[in-house]
Amino acid sequence: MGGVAEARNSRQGVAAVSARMVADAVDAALLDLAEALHTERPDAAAPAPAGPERQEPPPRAVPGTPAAGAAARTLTGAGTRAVAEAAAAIAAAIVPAVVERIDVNALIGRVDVEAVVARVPVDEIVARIDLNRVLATVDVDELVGRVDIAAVAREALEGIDIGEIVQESTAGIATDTMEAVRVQAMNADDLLARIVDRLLGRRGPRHVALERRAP
Amino acid sequence: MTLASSTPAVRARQGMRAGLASRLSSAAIDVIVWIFLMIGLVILVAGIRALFTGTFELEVYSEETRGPVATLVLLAYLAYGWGLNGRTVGMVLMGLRAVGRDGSDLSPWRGFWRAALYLIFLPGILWVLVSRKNASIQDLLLRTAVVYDWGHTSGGHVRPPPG
Repeated sequence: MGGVAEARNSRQGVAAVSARMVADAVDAALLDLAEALHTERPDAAAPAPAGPERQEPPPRAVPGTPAAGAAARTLTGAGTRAVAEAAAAIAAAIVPAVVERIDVNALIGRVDVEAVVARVPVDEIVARIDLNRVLATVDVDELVGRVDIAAVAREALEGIDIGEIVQESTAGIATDTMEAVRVQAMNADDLLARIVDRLLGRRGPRHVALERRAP
Repeated sequence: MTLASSTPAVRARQGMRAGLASRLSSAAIDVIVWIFLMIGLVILVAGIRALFTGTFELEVYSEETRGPVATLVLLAYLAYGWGLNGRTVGMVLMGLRAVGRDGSDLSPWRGFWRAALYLIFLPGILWVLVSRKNASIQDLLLRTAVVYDWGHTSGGHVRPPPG
């Protein structure tokens, strides 16, 4: 409720200030107009002062003469300035109040940013960029010098268990090698047995199975 | 399990009597282990002596001492391996196991006598070439066998194949 009352008071204050400024501007314009008319049309009914105190009336501007045109321009210029000053004063008072009352976040929320971005030809813009020229301006040595490579390497190594990797790979290699040796030994066993059996004139395979345990 | 041990041919031979090449290979590895044991023993004795004398000095033993000690170390090594779990270091690496003729574990005494017989007459292992059961002379005397055992069965215990 306090906000509403405050806004109402603010609006009333702005209106009062605006009205006062407009009135001042119009008043100033009327004064200028009166002075201009007075200069253009001196009072003809007034008797001419006699004697030595008589002054020379200002030259009368006759319509169609240069003097009348200058008077008209003076009048028009004064009015225009007054109105412009009044408008500027009104704008200076109103615009901040209006801006304060605008919820910019809500306004932005109503904007379809995706649609706006979709209208931007990003590919064309990127295609027009000469990356080589951009990169030529980059001092890579200085850039690399600013990087704490030791810290980066340390952080990377902390995330990798090199010991486990080495252990697994070494164990795998050792196991494969050992099994290959075992297989070769098996084949050599068979080969030697076949040779001896042939020399001895044996037929049929050897009895290499264990005897079953009596139940 | 790696590729070699996963092949059916390899799996089918688990628990079968091993031939001469595998057994000699494991024996060769055991000889290397035995040499390292002897070196370790010499260093150990020198270290113990250094505790009392203050000077660490490796001593080269005489022929009369070195022979019996080396024989005893080898006997203990083989008997320990065969009598305890049927495998020496060489047999572990070659995937072999010494078992009874029916696949049972060897008792410590049986392991000891097997080791002793090999030390007494090492060429008896060559009988594997001739034997139809891939048995050495020591195997025939002690009713033992050496089989392929790559450790596929639970606990490494060899089960005789069916049939």
